[in-house]
Amino acid sequence: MSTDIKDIVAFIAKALVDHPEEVSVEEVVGEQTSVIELRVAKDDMGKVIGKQGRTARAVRTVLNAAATKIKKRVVLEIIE
Amino acid sequence: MKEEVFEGKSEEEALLKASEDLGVNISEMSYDVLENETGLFGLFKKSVKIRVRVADEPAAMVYRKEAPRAGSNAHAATGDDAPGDDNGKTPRELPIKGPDAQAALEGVLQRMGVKAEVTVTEDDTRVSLDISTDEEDVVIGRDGEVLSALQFVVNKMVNRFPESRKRVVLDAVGFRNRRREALSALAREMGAKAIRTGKVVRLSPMNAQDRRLIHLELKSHSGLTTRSEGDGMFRCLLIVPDGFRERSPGRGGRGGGSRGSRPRRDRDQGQNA
Repeated sequence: MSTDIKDIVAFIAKALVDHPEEVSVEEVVGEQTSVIELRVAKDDMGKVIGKQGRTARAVRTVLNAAATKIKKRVVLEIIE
Repeated sequence: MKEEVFEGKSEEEALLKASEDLGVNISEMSYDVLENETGLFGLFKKSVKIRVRVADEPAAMVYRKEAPRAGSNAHAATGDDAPGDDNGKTPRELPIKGPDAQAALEGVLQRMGVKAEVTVTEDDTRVSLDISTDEEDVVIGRDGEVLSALQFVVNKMVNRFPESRKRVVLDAVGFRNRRREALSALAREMGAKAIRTGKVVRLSPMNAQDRRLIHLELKSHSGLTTRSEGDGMFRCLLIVPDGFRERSPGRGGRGGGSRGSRPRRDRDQGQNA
């Protein structure tokens, strides 16, 4: 089993939104830090961010936990 | 549409009865209060009558394995994204959430690269998922931080539509029990300390569930009261011994428990000077 940060984000995001077909995830790979760019439909932004950013925070926590397994740092950016 | 009258000592009790008798979730029925009788001084014999209405075919707690997608989903899933869905695994609005919740959690864990097994138990009100794994440091995290995040995310994934919500609760390798015991022990110890010293004990910031456990643990403890203070992630629980005179509110621990902010401020001032 291997850790796939991008796929975690895609899997979760698609389950949260109304337009899963508009979900896309890019990874900007850095030496120690990867930036994960999540794009969703405009009206789905709220769903992936959540009230007070709770959903986004929970997803980041999950990503960071997974990232420790591959000894990396991960930053999640949500883009409309 | 079906109508029936139920009676109970309180609105809640009447509703619960109705829910039980009709086999319908409370959230799925509408009701009016018919009578609200309060006895002498509001002390004795309170009785509340309510009239409950439910749709004839309640989308209910009755377990239905082959989900009647067509019926209950037609209005929820917009016609165009339902068939061509490329994410076949996505949990959708089924009355039974266990399998969806399990698929969601396993999907996330697998992509995290965690080897784990998930067992499901489900009743009318909640789905419990239990993770067994060797990688508990990854799955649970510091103070259960990751486990809580997973729980939150899985709930969101599974409960997209308000009409068929069901709470999903996660546990991993007995963490919740261990946590509960540790917090109870902490609560008792800190309660004793508050009474011994006569000063307010301020615990470090905790999430709502953890605070709740401590409140409950100390509820029956005599000689002290508990309350919380602060906002969001900084909310802390305070244990106040009886007879402690509070001065400025907002600085609960002033009498002595204020190990928090003051020393640091003093140090800062020292540096500035």
